[in-house]
Amino acid sequence: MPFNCIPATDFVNRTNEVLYLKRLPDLRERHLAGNILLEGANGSGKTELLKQVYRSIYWEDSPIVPFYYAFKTATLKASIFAQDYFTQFIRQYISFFSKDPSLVIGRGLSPARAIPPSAAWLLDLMDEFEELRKAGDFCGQLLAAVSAPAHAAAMSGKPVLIMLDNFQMALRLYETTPGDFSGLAGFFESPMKMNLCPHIVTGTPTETLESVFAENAFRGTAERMVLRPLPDDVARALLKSFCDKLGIREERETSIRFVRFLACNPLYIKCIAHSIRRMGKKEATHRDLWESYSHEVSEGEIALYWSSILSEALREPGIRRLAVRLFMHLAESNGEVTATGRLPRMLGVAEAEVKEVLAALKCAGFLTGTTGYKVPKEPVLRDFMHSLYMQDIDSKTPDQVRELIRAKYSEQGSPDMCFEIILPSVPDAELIAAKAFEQIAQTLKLQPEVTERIQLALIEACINAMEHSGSFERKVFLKFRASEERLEIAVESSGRFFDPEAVEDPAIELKLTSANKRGWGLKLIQSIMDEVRIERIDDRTRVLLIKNIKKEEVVHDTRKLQS
Amino acid sequence: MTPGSFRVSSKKVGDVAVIYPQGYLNNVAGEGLVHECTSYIEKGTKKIVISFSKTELVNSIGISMLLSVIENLLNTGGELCFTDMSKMLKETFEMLGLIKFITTFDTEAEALNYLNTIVLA
Ligand SMILES: Nc1ncnc2c1ncn2[C@@H]1O[C@H](COP(=O)(O)OP(=O)(O)O)[C@@H](O)[C@H]1O
Ligand SMILES: [Mg+2]
Repeated sequence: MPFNCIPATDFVNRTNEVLYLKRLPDLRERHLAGNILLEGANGSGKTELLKQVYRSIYWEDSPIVPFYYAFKTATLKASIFAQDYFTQFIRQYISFFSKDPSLVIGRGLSPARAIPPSAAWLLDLMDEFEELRKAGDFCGQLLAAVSAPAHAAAMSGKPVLIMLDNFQMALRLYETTPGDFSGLAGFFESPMKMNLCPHIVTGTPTETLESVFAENAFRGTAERMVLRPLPDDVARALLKSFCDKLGIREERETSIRFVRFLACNPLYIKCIAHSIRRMGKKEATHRDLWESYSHEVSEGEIALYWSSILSEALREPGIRRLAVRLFMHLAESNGEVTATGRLPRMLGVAEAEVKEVLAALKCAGFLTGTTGYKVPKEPVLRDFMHSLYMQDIDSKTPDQVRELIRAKYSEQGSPDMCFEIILPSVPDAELIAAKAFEQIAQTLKLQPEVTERIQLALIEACINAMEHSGSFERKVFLKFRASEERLEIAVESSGRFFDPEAVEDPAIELKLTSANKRGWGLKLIQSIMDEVRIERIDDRTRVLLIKNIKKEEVVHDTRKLQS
Repeated sequence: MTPGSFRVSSKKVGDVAVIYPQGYLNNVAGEGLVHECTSYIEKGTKKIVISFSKTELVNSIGISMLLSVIENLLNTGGELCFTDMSKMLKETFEMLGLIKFITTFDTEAEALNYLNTIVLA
């Protein structure tokens, strides 16, 4: 249902995405945009984003008609899908003109009676569909359903913004029995080509979603929009706002560390906040957070979320157990496993079965890998699978599982060193940043050579911020955060957004003869740091420089420092 | 690294010009360096050594200025050597590909030896 979304003000840090998607029909008409392939991890807010866009368009006096459809396991048989898709569209279309959301939800009067006289052609459309249904013509039904929005747009001249959620399931549309996959997703090809019907298509995992496109001609028409994890201070603010509403106190540094562990994922953050409340806590201390985490990941909402995806991928409980064992085996081996090798013998099952389970796990997002199979880095998913293993294979009690997970994270670690400085945008101000970093490097006992390189990266980031932002504020904001293992420097400036995708990798041969010889900064930064993230936070651009500090980069022996 | 401390000095050794950028090689300093090299090139010098012995840091703008020098000299069929680079500076030049257009030596003396053996058209 497109209407059950959170208040717009609670939907943080996606203003630009909402605005862009709302403008899509306009941009498409002017050939400035195509269809959108919206990508992002599970729980990153793809569905929420579509619903926000939907609601916003719905209540505006807009010439654009929004249509939201989420693929569901229950409606993957072609004829049922066609009926569902068609009905949803008609209901949403009429509801849009009468501004009566109850029509969408399926309560209230029959939608046909709410059709305005100007849209009498809708009745014809409905009659035609009914004929096809009676005739049992599933191809005809499917075609009629998926082209209904395009048809409506052509009749009314009003663009329809089509939002297709969980589109990876389109791969599984079937004719008579599940598994007789017959490329039915291809039916979407022609509506996607219609200028009056821009499509936003989303789902997870990204690889599976993209493979729907790989098999069809509409692949080339889509442009990508990636919902990245929230910046960590925004993620913490989200946790805080949940806590505030629930009357729970939290502390900034503890929360930041914790949301980081959760990959700044809004879904996980929400689940944790609810769980803390259910546990009757008034505070979210380090201990409380991990306690609720261990509960969440083994038997709470997070566990429920992943369990349902797992049982969707593998219906048979015995096979699921095998999947859990396979997953844990892979989790223990570093890197990608390409050949199934000894796995079948070790687990005592047929090779074909192992291969099938691995493929299913990859398709559902439990495993990644280009040619082989690899467990994703995300610790939450690993902990979920680990607790399943402990419960189902090691026969541990829920209490034991929770305790084992919690014990893994009981160490609080030393607090991070944090501080901020503001630089004026004046010549050589970047050297002040470099000097400030020298102090941190000394505390961290970094090798002089390592320090020097990071200083260069920092200098480049500052120069970029001062030059490219074009801000009126004429200031650069620096935030340093360092622990023994990790260093992070955020370089922020307001003004024009700086899109890393738009920066070409400079080629020396071309630069040599070109009048513009500049443009080496980002490349330098990227070669020095382990990760460079460019984030947009409201009207600021943040370039986040991240370095994992390795043992050999630290001076252990004081004599070495002097020499 | 002290802001504004940049100077460029140079000397002539036979038909070779040796240039010493000093301090922080950024936009201002880079322009000074390009200017210095250009004036030698204009007077017919084809062999240049840039010694980084007195350079503390080169930023990306400095790098673009060095590219200008390389372009100017290549256009006249000249030869450019870099010497006394810190490990980081050398790695940076390698990573960006600058190294392809120059010859590098640990010391100025080695560069001078090399340039004395070659005959340019
Ligand atoms: N930017 C955000 N601000 C606040 N809450 C968010 C944000 N993004 C997602 N959420 C919340 O997180 C949960 C997961 O989002 P959802 O849209 O279902 O993820 P996805 O569809 O990408 O798997 C939802 O409850 C949603 O309301
Ligand atoms: Mg979703």
